[in-house]
Amino acid sequence: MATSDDGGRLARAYGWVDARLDLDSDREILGKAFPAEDSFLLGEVALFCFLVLVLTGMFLGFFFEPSTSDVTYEGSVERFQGEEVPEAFASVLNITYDVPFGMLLRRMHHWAAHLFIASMALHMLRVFFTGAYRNPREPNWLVGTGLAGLSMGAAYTGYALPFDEFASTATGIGYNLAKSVPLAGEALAKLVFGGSFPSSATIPRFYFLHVLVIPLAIAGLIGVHMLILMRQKHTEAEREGDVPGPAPPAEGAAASGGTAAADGGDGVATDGAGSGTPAGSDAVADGGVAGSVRAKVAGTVARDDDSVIVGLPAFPNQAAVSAVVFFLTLATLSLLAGFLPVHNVAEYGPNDPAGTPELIMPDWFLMWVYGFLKLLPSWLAFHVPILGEVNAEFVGGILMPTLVFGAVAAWPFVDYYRDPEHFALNPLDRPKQTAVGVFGVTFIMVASIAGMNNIAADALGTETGPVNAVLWWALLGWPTLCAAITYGLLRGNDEGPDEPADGSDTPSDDGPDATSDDPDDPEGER
Amino acid sequence: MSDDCDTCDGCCGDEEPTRPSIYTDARAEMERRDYAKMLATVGGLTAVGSLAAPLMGLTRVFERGYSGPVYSDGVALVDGEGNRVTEGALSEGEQMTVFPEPRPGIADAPTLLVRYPEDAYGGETRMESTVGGYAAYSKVCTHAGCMVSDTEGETLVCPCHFGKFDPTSGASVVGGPPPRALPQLPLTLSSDGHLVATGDFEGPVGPGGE
Repeated sequence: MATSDDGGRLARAYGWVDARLDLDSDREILGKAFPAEDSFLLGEVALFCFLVLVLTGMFLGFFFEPSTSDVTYEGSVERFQGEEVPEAFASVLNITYDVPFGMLLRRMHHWAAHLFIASMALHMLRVFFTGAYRNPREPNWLVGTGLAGLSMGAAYTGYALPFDEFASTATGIGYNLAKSVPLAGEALAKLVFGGSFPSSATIPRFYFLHVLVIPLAIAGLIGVHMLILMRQKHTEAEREGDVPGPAPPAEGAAASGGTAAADGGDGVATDGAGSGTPAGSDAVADGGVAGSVRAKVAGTVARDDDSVIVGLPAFPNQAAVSAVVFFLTLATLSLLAGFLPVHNVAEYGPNDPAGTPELIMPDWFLMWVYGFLKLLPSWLAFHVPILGEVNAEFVGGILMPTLVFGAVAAWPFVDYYRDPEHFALNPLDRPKQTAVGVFGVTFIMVASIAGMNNIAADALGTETGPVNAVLWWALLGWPTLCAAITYGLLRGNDEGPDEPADGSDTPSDDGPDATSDDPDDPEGER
Repeated sequence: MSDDCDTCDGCCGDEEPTRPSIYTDARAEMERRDYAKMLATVGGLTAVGSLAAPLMGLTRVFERGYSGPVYSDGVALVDGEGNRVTEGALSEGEQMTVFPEPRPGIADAPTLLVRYPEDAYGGETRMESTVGGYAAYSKVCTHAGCMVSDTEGETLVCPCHFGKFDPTSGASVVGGPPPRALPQLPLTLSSDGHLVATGDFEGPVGPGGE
């Protein structure tokens, strides 16, 4: 590729690889357009968290021993010295207190798991509220939903591994949930948990799932997610007006590596949009350059031309942005890991078969499921002729979460668009969809509060009984109210998509926080 | 026989457009192809499905479920250290966790031993299973299998999902999601002053089971 006056050695190295892999023919990938939207970077945060998880996980994997056989602990934690503890627990203590950098990397792994799921959830909310799931992007929404489910599975199996008192309790609850599935429950529970929990096969099996099966599946789906994204291109926010054609250096910059990276604002690339219009599919076939060429011919990109995407070229501009995101993610995780202990197994102690810790609850992202379990009364159990007993654990722990995930997956087909849409929308302009989103977010929030009903009861100076009674009604009532208010506030915006009613009321801008503000202004509801 | 061959040629080859009609042989030929497709599909699915059969083996690894009795007549109750529980172990209003005296094949059967004045019991308590104000219940919550290791006043509370049980009324459910009471263990005093079971729990232990 590049002329080799300077950096001849680099050019020769490139030439060597290029001669064998024909890199030049795919150079237009470097011109892929990334719309310059900050909220579009949430997915990248999730991606980098996964990378950190894999790397820190590899480190932990060198030391972890997936076994629950008792060993005499001889490490440096005084409290357990000379005690018989499960091998898994002992090895995690070893990682935490005796392996150099072990504590930092273990905490980083744990924090990265939290951030992975959090950024993924926010990314999904962003996609939902801006309507980026619409035709033709339904497949990627499905892949993303699968990723969310898998990452929860990864978190759950990882949580179990140290076999501390919290881990074993959480695993025990999961085992009983699996067992509560009608008909297949017994087999399913034994399959996942390695016989009747607690058995000596549980931790090895979870280890295998956690370090190989689930990460492979996640990596595969991330690959599919990215490929579909490349193929379909990003969505793009509504343009303010016609966009001038790409600056000539943009292409050269991609080739000559870095000289033009600084002029971020000007380095606009355009990119053929996904399938749909004939022009679009043309552009796809030829990659980003085709889009640029088209645009160059036209001189400008028309405001409503959805056959091209306007954004920063992947290289060097977006690469620089991504690098910043990566280092910020890494810095955040390092700070959290350095200063905030998480899942302190030495404090929890090893699994005690005859006890359950007083203040037990799952990580925040499973709190809503836990809330269902706490709220659903046993009289929900019913008998189905062939299936047998369907009990409240199954309804709360398996059926309801499945329905929630199912509803999420089905949404693009409920809110279906016959024609491809390539512009992201302002949530304020979509009263119905935004109201549904607000319903979903508040529903999960109320369920999560139900998961912490004992804390809520403590805070209110009462018991879990009355709190549950309130939460029961709030579980459907509160989301309905919030959705109704959202819809009422936004209804007027439906026709005039260009101007949000007024700057002051911006509910659902970022889901949870904003929606909880809504009810405070009662005049909003009409 | 030779007819078949002809039709086959006709379909696969370039002869077909010249045929005046899609009836007669051509139709029969298509049916035969469909039949072959079906066989191939069924055969293929069977072959692939047979690969899933070994999955059933996964449920068998390290099987060590135990479904026999936990207690039986004469099994003594022991505390966490393995010492037998004597009549004076608890004063009224107290509770402790006890286990069946170890026997081969049984790992854990945590049991809650409570003591109240005799006349405090009522409701669903089986009075014939109590002795000297002692009553014993399974410690395994009937909801999701956690240990009922917390209390609120006199109420037994499972910390997982806040199922609540009344120990003076046969550990019946007084709050939260559990579907049924903690099973009671019939107790008596042995001649040397130890608490012993006179049989197994009067109901299934833990979740499931009706």
